[in-house]
Amino acid sequence: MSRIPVPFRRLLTPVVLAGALLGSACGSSDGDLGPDSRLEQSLVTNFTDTVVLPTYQRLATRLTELDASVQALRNEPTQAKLDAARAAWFAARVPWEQSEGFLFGPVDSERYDPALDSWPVNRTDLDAVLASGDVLTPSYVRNLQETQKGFHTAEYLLFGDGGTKVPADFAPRQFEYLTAITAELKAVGDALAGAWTQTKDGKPPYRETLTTAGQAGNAAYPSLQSAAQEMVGGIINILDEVANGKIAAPYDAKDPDLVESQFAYNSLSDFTNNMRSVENVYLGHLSDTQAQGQTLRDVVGVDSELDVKVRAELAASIQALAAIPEPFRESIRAPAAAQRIEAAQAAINTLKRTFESQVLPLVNR
Amino acid sequence: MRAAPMTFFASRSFLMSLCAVSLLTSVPGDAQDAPPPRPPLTLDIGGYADLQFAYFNHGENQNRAGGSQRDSRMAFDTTRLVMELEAGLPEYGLKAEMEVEFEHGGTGASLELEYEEFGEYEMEVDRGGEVLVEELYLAKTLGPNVTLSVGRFYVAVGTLSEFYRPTDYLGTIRDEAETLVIPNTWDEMGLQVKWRIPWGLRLTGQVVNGLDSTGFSSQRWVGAGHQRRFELTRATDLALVVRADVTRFNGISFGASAYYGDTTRNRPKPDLVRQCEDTNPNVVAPCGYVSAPLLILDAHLSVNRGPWRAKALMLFGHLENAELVSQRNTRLSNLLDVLRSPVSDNALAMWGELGFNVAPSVGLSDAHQVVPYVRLDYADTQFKPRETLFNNPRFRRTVYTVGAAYTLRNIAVAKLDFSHRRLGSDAFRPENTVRLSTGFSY
Repeated sequence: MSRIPVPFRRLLTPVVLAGALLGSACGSSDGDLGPDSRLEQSLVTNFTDTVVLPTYQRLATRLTELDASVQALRNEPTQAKLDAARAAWFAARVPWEQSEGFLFGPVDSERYDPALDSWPVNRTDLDAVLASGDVLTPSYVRNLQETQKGFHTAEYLLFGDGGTKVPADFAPRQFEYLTAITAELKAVGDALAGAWTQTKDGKPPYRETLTTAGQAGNAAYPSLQSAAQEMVGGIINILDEVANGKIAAPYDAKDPDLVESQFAYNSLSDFTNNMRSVENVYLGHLSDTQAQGQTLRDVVGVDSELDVKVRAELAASIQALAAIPEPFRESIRAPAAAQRIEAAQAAINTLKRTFESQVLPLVNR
Repeated sequence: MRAAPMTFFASRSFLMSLCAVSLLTSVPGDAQDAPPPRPPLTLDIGGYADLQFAYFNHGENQNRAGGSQRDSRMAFDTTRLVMELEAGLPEYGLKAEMEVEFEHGGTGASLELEYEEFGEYEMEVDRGGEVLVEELYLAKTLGPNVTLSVGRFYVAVGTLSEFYRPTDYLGTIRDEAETLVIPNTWDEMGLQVKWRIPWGLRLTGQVVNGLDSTGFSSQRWVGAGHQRRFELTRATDLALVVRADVTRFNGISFGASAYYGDTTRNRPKPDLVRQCEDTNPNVVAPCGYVSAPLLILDAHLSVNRGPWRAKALMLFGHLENAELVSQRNTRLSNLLDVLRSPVSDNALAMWGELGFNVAPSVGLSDAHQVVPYVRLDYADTQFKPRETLFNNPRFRRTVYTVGAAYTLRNIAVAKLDFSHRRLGSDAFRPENTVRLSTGFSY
């Protein structure tokens, strides 16, 4: 979900920077680690290699699979192919939402985030494209507004409103549009994963930028603290966004159009995967892998009081989200769900405050 | 239109006093080195201000399906306060003019809700600030009819380069059409020649720095290509402006202007270069830059005769290689804070307003003007685009305005109007606005 993260991230930038300044002011002047620091170089290396790269690689693979399944649907518009394409869309959402705990680096600066995940979909503009008769060349699709392509436009075309669409509902023009969008999604997914591992336009792979944090000549991350602050800042940003953007904005306005993934009824899954993203960054590995170096949990202290608290609050947040009935777009208007929605919001905000007030100071040292 | 200048001549006695002070404070040996008296200096202090009180029946976000939602909201704005100072040395035909504008009553960083980016909060450090030096130039008269200026001045395109004070136009705001597609108001640095031909023709020629194409977009066409982001203005690509105005007829002027200049070498980074095999790593762009020249043509009219007040403009613009600019812009860094939507090859803007002074008919003296008026604005920032660009009707707008403007001795002003905006498709909800503005021009 591109649009809301960027803003909150930007709002938090001064906080993180202030923390960085404070940290560097308290530490030695040239960015070397002070005697108090618990940070090791393997913190960023492990985070990059065990969390970021596999997540983006998985995203690129699943977007490729989504594109292939949509091509197959276009060639043979059966219910089975439609189900497969929808399953591919759901599958691709998982790594993307699990990457939103680290929406920095190329995904931000190269604008891959809005290119993939702008919402809400502007259906008026979308309908105008469908009605235009223009040839949907790759160049044409690339030039469309960000809310006329990406995950959620594909979602609208694939699912209709609430997943009611059947193969017979697809006009040839819709297939043309859908396949053009998924081809673009695939290209963006490849570019995003590539930006971390390949040199492009003279820019070194972002992996190199991050993993050499604190080493001589690294202007982006002059100290290990600055890289660790980026990691914790990413966590705080997504927690803020889920609680006070993704949940609060549509709930307060009672406006289903503001709900992310509203057509596929996938909103709560998205939010939960955002929590998993936080968990992955904190634990330093994905659910099916092992950490290969220091993790944020190590910095906090494994099984320390704070670690127990963080993990308990994470679990509580995920549990609170599970208690909200899907579809979230209906729940925001249902009085019976109000308490649960507010409870989930509160749980996530509690976790956010813990990261802000207790974890961030640890990496600032 | 403007008040007579307040002119001060440094009197002989004042200068004598200065000399006396100088003599008293200097050591005796320096007495014979006292500087010669300064020549008479004329000073002309002026300025204008504009305050806005607006009611809207629609939400701010036009990007919603169906256009902006129904809403009922008000916004107040200290739109601008502009201070002007002209200093002249008449005996040498020299003049310096400076104009500083304070926009929205504040300076520094501001937080904006950017709906073109779908409800993002944007922390904007208003580059160059919300305090802007809009004019700062030195002018030298060359004979009675020719003036040469160097510095920062208004680009002689459209109506707003000349008629930008709240007493100059009838609406509560500057015309929406012109301010949408080109910078508002458009000032650049360079050299300017003005030649008044006695017959009643005024010719203007300018060489100024060109625009920066990273700011071009679907929403504003080249309007946000105005260089305000960085401390220095890039002028690798220059633009040429020529303008002719017929001023022979009392109270009526009309004319045309043309602007032509490239835009790609003023980008912050040399990122729009021609690709070639024979690269030389020691040269920034071994095979040159992609050329994306911008052409703007306009015809304009102004009437201020008897009870009639009118303005009209038709402006057409064409950007060569708009597709290449768009493709490159989509890959710009977030940190540059530009829209990155594709820019159209062409844009069209038209506007006109017509009013009639009824003050005499209601028994008011010449000091007052009461001018009911109508205004029409039309702008299409995606006018006849290339085939590969979706011609989005969202970027076509027509605004119908009716209102009345009151001015007292052409200094104090109060205006009220109602405008009805329609976007280029019935799928978008129309938007109504009532505005009250007040201010002064002196």
